[in-house]
Order: sequence, then structure tokens, then C-alpha cells
Amino acid sequence: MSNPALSCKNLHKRFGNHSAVDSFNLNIAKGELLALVGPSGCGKTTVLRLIAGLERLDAGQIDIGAIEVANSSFSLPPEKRSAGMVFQDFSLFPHMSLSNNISFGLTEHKDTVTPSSNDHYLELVGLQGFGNRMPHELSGGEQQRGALARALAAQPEILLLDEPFSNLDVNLRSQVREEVTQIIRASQVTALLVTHDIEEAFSVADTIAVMMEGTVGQVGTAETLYSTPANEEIAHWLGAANFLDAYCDGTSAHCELGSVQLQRECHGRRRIMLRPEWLSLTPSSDGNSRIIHRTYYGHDQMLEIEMKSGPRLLVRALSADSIQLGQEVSVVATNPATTFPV
Amino acid sequence: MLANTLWQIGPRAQSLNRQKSLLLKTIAVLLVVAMMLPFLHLMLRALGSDASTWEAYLRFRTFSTLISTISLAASVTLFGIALAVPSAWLVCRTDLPGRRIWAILLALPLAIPSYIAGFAFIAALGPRGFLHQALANLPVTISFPGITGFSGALFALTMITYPYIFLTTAAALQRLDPSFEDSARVLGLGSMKSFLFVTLPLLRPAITAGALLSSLYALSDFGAVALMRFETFTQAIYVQYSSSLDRSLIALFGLTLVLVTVLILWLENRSRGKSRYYRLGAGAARRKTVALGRWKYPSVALLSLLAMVSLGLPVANVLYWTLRGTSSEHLDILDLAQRAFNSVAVSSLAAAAAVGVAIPITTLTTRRKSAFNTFIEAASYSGYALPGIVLALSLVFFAANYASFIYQSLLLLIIAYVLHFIPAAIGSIRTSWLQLNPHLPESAHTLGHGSTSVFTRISMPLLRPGIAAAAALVFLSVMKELPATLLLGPTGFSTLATSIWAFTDEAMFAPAGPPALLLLALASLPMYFLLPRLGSQ
Repeated sequence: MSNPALSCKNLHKRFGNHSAVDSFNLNIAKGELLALVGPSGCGKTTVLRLIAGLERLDAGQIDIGAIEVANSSFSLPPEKRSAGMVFQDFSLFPHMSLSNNISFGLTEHKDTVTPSSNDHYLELVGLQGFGNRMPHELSGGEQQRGALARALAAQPEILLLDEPFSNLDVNLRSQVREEVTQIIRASQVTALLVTHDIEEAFSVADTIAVMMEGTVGQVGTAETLYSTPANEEIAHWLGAANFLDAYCDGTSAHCELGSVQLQRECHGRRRIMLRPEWLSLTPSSDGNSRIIHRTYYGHDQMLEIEMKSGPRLLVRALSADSIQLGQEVSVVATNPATTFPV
Repeated sequence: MLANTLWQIGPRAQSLNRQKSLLLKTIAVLLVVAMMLPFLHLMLRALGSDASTWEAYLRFRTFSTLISTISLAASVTLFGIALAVPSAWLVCRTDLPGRRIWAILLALPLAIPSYIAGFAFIAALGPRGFLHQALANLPVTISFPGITGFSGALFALTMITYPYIFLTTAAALQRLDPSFEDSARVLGLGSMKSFLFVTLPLLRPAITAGALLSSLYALSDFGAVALMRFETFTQAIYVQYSSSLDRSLIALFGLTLVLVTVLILWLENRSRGKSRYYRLGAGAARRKTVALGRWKYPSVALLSLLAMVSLGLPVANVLYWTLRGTSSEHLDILDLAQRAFNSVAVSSLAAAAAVGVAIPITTLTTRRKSAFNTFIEAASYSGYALPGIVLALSLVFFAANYASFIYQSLLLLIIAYVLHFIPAAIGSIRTSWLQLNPHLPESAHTLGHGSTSVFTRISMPLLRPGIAAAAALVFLSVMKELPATLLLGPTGFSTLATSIWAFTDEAMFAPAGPPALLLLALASLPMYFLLPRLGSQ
């Protein structure tokens, strides 16, 4: 089996009394685009900086390709590692033109550089003819792609992206996100993207690693993480979730909603989790619930209901469904639930 | 296999970095030791004082001189703030016509040595000055006693030190995010109130930084106060030095002055508080200018008056000396050129040396916080606490006793300049470092460049404005400097400043004209680097 493009083994990093990264493990396969998501302050950016060599490890080991680049007693300087980085603020050198920014990373690979290299990368990111512009003459999205071209031109084994879209306008973000993802896929580079935006991670990455309090909580595809989170905290963090106490007898659970199908066979007292879109409601004069709050999104709407037996639940419904506040409804689960220990 | 090879490269690269770090630390420690020498000397000397010295110290009007010195420094600072802050606001935030020109005119008095300003103000506004005589010829009696003593020293020093506050305040106004003011306006404050309650507090660190420079200048000035016949500590030290042989007494006076300076530094540090530095925003928001309307002409008139007095009078006075001189006396062009060359040479050498020391020190101290770095930083600012004359006397003593080979050498003079003016250089370059986005050098590293390449190709070009300003500030200060040059210059070594002093000391004003004019011209050149985009849109 070939080596992973990046391997982090049991990384530890403290800042003073604060443990930023704690027993962090992660592997990325060659050519994979992995998103590391987590709430602000969970240590994501520190992990990127450890991989790039901008911070030193306290313990653990980092390998890029077959090369060990850092452990507790040794740290290859960033310029000797084959890791490219795109910062949140793009960090194009303000005193150099876009072309000079790009060739700044090319100079270290003189033997492979041809005069067209620069143009090649400009073309790759769709900035042909922009080479003579200074960074301040570029829009946010153009700076973003310029920074990407600069990082790719150095031909890194792994590309690290730190919150690359958070400095862009909301209406520009999804478009640039799409473009950047396509560029990364076209260049077949292995990439690690850090973000606190779960929607961004879902829409961009092959694989997602959820980071909580300095360590990886779960790794998997978007679908797996969303439908089968490893614990309640991750379940909450990845999107709206309803939790109910239940008694399981194999394939179904008994709870306030009656009998609910389970994803996996299970026995005894459990907590079950149902996403808002796994529930469906129908107006009914003797329903089990009442609508108490409604948030309208256009394409759909989120309804908060209160069951007559007490619990409150979130239900996602199509916006076409005509529903009144205070209306009585009956709620049923349409998808199988995930279980957690009590 | 490859991994093994890199294992060997890795630690070597690290030890290289460690060597560089060690070099930086060595430079820093050397500077601190050099800065501590004068303090040490003062302490030793003061400890060596016997009962008669203490008696002389207490007999001398120590306390009253101390009070007048402090009141002078405080008044100069307050008047300076009152002049500089509104001027800076007019230049940076209003539709005042010719704002760039005003910025230059209001900053230029910085290039005027206090002794030249002193003569001009005495000639124009003194008890037998031009204004006094003009008023006496009027049919109506208007009493104008003329400025002298405290009022004279206050006036002269305010006129040449307000530009420090003007420059720091204008630079901060230029950087300040106008959205704070906008928010205040939206919250219902008038433009005057939002300036008073929002902008002014935000400007406080900058105003304080400028006020520090002007108060320390007032404290250690000796040209203007001597001319105005106002006795301050600095002047007393100089008089003692030239008349008495009791060096312990001078050390006691010196220590007293150091204590006052430390007090001012402490006040400044408290006033600055936590809001010490602010980064530049990502995108500079378009600045809205306040329409002055019917206040336009009064504003122009006020600024004109300020520029005419602070800049116009000294320049006119020097021109008058010069014109009178060339008609009556023989002007030795070669001699003048030699002095100008000396002035420019020592100023440039000192500026280069100060920048050369300040760059490694700021590289070290802004990189990361550690007890060592904090200590180095505090120590590097201690140069502020040594008035020029005290520093010069300590170095005279040190060189005469322990390093006679540099006594009376240019090297010692340059060392004195560097020690004296390094805090200003460090302050300027440090600010540039703090405004440098750390992601830029980091990006350069991840793109495969080592520390040296990153420093020369990324950090240095981006620090250039700060480095240029630092060099300009040191150059300008050395051009004007008098006490250290008089005390430490090699025998026969004469600069423009010392020759002006020598001529005017013997009341020979005509021959002082050409060197004074040349000094003003040469000292104004570096102002170009101190006015970054000021007043421009």
C-alpha cells in the first residue's frame, strides 16, 4: 500500500497552559481533498501551521509523503517542506506584481521552470493577462485565485488552505468556492482545507474530519457524518438535530413519536437522533403537536413544534406546504434514527 | 533513505537559525550594556559624593530649578498639543485648500535648532525686539513686555516641538478607521462631539507618543533656555561642567534629571495604556472630508500665522543675518563647505549606525514575547531617559578613563548619537514590523525561501518606509544636536551647529547666517521621508 500524502500521528501542541492540539491523528490519501472542520478555537489553524512548519510540535510525528518532517525533537523548516499554504487573507506580497508573486515560488525549482510556467499557472486559475497587476488592483476573488496559483506553482506535495473563503463577500463565496475546488481537482494536488463553515466543508470536500477541542472527533464522507455522527456534540455541530429518549428493541425504538425505525440494530435505553428533514408533519385537528415557531427560508422552512406530551422538535418542511402558526399537526419520522448511549 | 538524508539537513538548518538568533541576541546585549554604562557612571559618581557635594547640591537652588524645569516641559507639551491636534485634524480631515503644503509647512519647524529659533524670537518678540519697537512707534500705547525667561523659553520650545505631536497625530488620523466616527455620527453625536468623545480618545496613544518627544526635548534643551535666560537643570549642568570641577555634583544633577525623565516615561506608559498599537485595516476605507464652509478662511488664517511664526520668523532671521553678512564680511566658502560636509557626514553615519542596530533589535523583539525580549525592549528605550548632555558627560568620563583610544574620536561621537537617538529609530521600525502582516513572511517560507531570502526580499522592502523614517529622524536630530557635539567632538572638529553656536556665543551674527541657512536647508531634506502621504487623498 502506498504512503498517504500526509500523515499526522498523535500531535500535541500547547501554548502556555492552553492545550491547542491534543492527540491529533489524521491521514490524507494522495489526490484527496479533505476538509478539517470545527468550531472556532478548536485548534484547526494550529494543525495547519504545524504541518506547514510555522509552529513546532510538542509531541507526535508528521510525515509528508515518505518524508518525516517533524517530531518532538526535530522540525524541518517550512522552506524545506513540500507544503504550500493559502492564508485567510491571501497574503499576496503587496510590493510585487501577480507574476512576480507566482514566480517567487518557482525560483526554488529552477531546473523545471520554463518561461511559460508563470503563464501556465495564471491560465490554470483563469487570470490570463492579469500578470502585471499589483495585488491591490485585484478583486477579492482574483486575489484568492492569485494566492492559489502562487501556492500551486511551487508544486507542493500538499496544499494547505486556511479558511480560504471567509474573507470573501457572501454572494461571491459560493462561486469562488466552486472555481477553487475545480482548480484544485484539475491540478490533482492533495489538499487540506480548514474551515468553520460546515456547509462549505460538505459542498467542497471528498472527506471531512471534524475537530473538537484539539482532536479529531470523526472522519468520513459528508453523508456518513451527517446521518451517523459519532456523538451528540458532533451531531449538534453538523446541523440541527432532535434528540429523544427511547427504548430500543432491535430494529425499532419506542419514544414520544411512537415507533421509529433505527439505522442499526440496538437494544435497551438509548437517546435517538432525528434530523429535522427526517420528520414529516400533516395538519390534523387531533394531531400530537402544535406549531409554535416558524422560520421561512424561501426554498424551505424550519418549524418548531411542541408535542402535547412535552418535547419540542424541529421539522424542516417545503415552503409550498401551507402551515399556520399555532396549527395542530401530527408528526411522524420518515427516516431511520441514529442512536447514542444515554 | 530520503528521510534519513533530510534528518541530517534538518538539525543543521535549525542550528543555523539558532546561530542567527544568537547573533541578534549578541547585538541586543551589546547595546544594552552600552546603554547601561552612562547610568552606571552616574551612579558611581553620585555615590562618591562627600558631604560638601551634598551641601552644594542642596545649597544650589535644586528644588526651585527642578520645579521650573518640570513646569516648562509640561507647559511646552500642553501648548504643543493645543496647537498640533487641531492643525492635524484640519490637514487630514477637512477640505482645507492646499493640505499637502500645510502638512509640510507645519512639520518643517522640526528642522530648526532651538538656538536658531531662540535668536529669531528674541529679535522679533523680545523686550527690545521688532514687535516691541513697532508698538512703541504707534500713537496709541499698547503694552507688550516682550518674551523672555519662562515665557520666552516656553514660546520658543513650543514653536519647534509642536511638529512632533503634529506628525504622530496626523499619521494616526490617516490610519484611523473612519467607521468609528461614522458610528458615533449615526448614534446621534454631532461632528464636534464625535471628534471629542470618539476620535480624540482613539488618537490618545499617538498624541502621547508625540507629547513624549516634545516634553523630553524641552527637558533636555539647552540652546533656547540659555538664550532666554531661563535656568533649567540641563542648563545648570552645562554651567557646572564649564565652571566647576566637582564632577560628583554634576552626577547628582544628572541623576535628578534622569529621575524626572523616568517619571515622564512612566506617565507616558500609563497614559498609553493597552491601546499601544493598531494594525492597518485590510482595505482603507474612503475618507470623508469635513466641509469647513465659513470656517475655511479663519482656519487658513490661523495656520498661516502658526507657520509664519514657527517657520517664517527663524528663516527670515537667518536670511537677515546672511544678507547682512555677505555685504560686510568675507565669506569663507571652503570653510563653510567643510563644516557642512562634517555635519552631513556625522549625521549620515549616525543614521546608518542607528538603523543598523535598530533593525536586528526590532527583528528580535517583535518576533515573539519572552522575558529576555521584553527586557531588551525596555532597555533600548532607556536612551530616552538620558538627556544629551548627561550622556555626553558620561561618555567623556568613560572614554577618558577606560578607553582613551576612542577619546576625542569621531567613533565616540557617533556612539553618543546612536545611544541618544536609537529609541526614536527603534520606535519607527518597530511600528513598521507590527504593521507587517506576519502571513507575508510565512507565505514566503512555505514557498521555499530561507530566512535570509525572506528577509531581503519580503520583510525589508515592506519595512522600508519605517526604516527611511527612522534614518530621517536620526539624521535630522544629529544635524541639530549641540551639547554632545560640543563635548565629544574631536579638537578642531566643527559642524554647522557648533560653528553657529561659536559665532553667536560671541555675538557675531553675520557670520552665523550662512551656516545657519545651510543647516536649515540640509535638515529639511529628510522631512520628505517623515511625511508619508500626509494630506494627500
